[in-house]
Amino acid sequence: MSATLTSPALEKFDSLDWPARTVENWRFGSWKEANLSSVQPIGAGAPADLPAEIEGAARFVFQNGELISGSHEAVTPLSESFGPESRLGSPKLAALHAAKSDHGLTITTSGEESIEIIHLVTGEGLLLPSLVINAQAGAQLRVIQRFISTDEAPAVVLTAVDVNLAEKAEVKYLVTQELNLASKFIRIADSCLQSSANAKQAIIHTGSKWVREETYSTVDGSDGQSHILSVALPDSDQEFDQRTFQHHGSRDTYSNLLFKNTLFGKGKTIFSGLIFVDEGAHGTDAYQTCRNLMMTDHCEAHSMPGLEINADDVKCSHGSTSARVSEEEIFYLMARGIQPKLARSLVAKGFSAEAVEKLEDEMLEALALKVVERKFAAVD
Amino acid sequence: MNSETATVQQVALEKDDIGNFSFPENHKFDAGYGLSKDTIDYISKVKNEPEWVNEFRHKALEVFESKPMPTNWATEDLNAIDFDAIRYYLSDGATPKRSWDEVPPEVLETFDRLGVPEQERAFLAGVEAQYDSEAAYSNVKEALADEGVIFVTCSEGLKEHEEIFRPWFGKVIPTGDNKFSALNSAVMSGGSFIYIPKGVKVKHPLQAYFRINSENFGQFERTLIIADEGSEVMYMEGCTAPKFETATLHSAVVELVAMKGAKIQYITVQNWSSNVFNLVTKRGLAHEDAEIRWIDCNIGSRLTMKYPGVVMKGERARGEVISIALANDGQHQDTGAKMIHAANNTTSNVISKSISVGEGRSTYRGQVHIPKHLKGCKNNTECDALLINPKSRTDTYPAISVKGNQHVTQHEASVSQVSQEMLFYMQQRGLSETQAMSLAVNGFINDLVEEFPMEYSVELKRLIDLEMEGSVG
Repeated sequence: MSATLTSPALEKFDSLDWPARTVENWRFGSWKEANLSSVQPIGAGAPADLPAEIEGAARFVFQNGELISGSHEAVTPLSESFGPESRLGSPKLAALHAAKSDHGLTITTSGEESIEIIHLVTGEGLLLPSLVINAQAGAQLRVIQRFISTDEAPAVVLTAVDVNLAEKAEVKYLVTQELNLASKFIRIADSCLQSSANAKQAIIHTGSKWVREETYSTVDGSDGQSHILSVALPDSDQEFDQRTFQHHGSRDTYSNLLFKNTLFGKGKTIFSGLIFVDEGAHGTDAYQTCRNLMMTDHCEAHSMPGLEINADDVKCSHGSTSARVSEEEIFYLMARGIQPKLARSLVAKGFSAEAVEKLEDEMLEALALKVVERKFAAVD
Repeated sequence: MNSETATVQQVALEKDDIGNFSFPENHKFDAGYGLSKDTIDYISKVKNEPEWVNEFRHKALEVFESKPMPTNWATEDLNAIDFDAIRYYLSDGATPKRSWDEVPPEVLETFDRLGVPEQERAFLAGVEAQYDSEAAYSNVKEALADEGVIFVTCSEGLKEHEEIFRPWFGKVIPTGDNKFSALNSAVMSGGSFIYIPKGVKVKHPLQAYFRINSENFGQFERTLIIADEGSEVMYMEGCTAPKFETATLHSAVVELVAMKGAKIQYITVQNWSSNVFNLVTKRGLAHEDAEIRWIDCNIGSRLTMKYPGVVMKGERARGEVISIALANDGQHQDTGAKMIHAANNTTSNVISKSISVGEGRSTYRGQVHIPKHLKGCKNNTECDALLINPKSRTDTYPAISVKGNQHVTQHEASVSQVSQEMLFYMQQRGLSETQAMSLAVNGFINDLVEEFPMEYSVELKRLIDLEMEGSVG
């Protein structure tokens, strides 16, 4: 620890301010939650029952940062912390991660691999996992990353991920955030795609009392395709704050974002997204959709879909809606003998499933839907 | 490329030519350069204002000075405004004339060239013509005056109709709303006060025309329109300024109050010259069953920041913003809408279409707010942007907040360009490329242009044709 005290990352961390009300990227957000100055590092982890194995995937398990199992030729423990860059409002948190993250994995491959990483989180305090994915030319990679609490203690997980896709690489990457309702979860995710690369990233948020997620996607080569998907299911006292940036740095690139929020109780979501088309990035195709399904009269959704277009000959659009399950759909199901409550729940599950299906991977979809199901059961 | 740029410039000049002329300054009253407590006292004295207005101004000055430039979200170009290099009050006296015959010859000629007296005769129910800081002419048709319609300058309103004016003045847009509403509250001069009595439906539009004649000048008109129960009114404003080398500031505050069941339509065709910073705060308060529509067209100015808003305070109130923006080289049209739902079953609609030409930049910024414990609120927002040239820019930044599950909101935005097939098709039929482009652009905004009164929509089409010339080829 003494060696890192003088590191440039730590100096940077010290020089920056915690997020404040005046920062535009924190509009509607609970910037006070992001102040981690009084959070202590997390202690030792504890074993717990693991979820069912996924067929064909190599499993890595961390207990509070300690790697307790897993080995694969494409995966190495992260030897030094990488410095994620927060361009969406949290440079202080990014610097904190860069300065103090002490565990993580690097996945580097040009082959066809499936890797599953489970982070078991136990006790109170700050945990800083990292993940770097280097999909080399032609790689076909499937990555699952799960965050699971083993107790009810208020942990803070600040995680960063860097995904790089070389030419023609394909990555399908599913994250499930299943922490307990006392924890906080902060995720800074960067991805960069070269030409003809195809990335499908999805995240399922069911846990945590407060989530802040900053997803930055850059498509830097022609015919690169970036798909960003999210399903968030906040209930009372849960707040999910998601900021995204779809950066088109080159001609003829494609990105598509679909966020589906189903809000229960006094759940709250904030979505802020920006499609940014560089000067000269003609032929860009970019879409962004955020849909909020309001299940109660006390939930709250804020949507800020944005566009910044600096080139012509592009196709860009965004859409955002907030509404409840339509009476027509309920009526249709009731006419078939289904009780209104169940009908509402069926429609809502279908609503979430629509985003999950975009992964186009049966195994990942099944896992994602299982996590979604569990939340629905808990809300009931 | 050079010839293209040259044509664009030439066309820009031609467009500005409509208002690009000025007369030598001949002001009896000049508050000098810069803004201080003395400036405010000078304005109050010239206008012979009651003490409460002077106090109101001084408080506003403090707010203005305490607020930072909103560059944390707005363009850095705002920092180019030098508040010390601006003259805050220039006038020939604070009392407008009721007849064009009494208006000084150069002022009359100005408005003659802009066609204001002619339009008044043709189709307007009342006109106010503001020249720099004060209205030179203000008149309303006798029949309307007999029905109790008040259409006077803001200064007359606060002095002669205080009992109607004061309860609403500064209530829709408080001084501290933003830095520029505070600036306006400190140095306001000119603008209109309109009161439409219960049940009176004004058939013909009322019009205000704002003219800047002097260099290094700031125009800060203040308008308050009150439509009493069940009344209806349409108000139109136009504006031009000569093209000076230095920056000119126009910072207005417009407050609308629609009482139960009233309807207000507020129409703006903004064609300031491209050296004008146009930073305007506009908001309406709609009571039960009332309707407020902002129809806003921005073609001129260097930077426009304007987000007309409606606060729907009564049940079933309705708010609408229809916005057309055209940004050419050196222009930034930062426009949008604010819809604040504050009662059950209120509905709002925003339709915004922008066109970016050359290196122009257009921005849509919107806010929709539906707070707790309401039901049955609806909002629809549509923003479409058209990009004409490779370096044209467009941005969209909406923010939609919804609480509860008894509402419906939808927002959609798209960016596109005129398709090559469409241009090719029209050229096959004998149109030049420029004509084809102009036709396509007019088609893009056609359904919105139809919302304007006929006289304005014709003018609008002509302005767009002028803008589009030289943009292609």
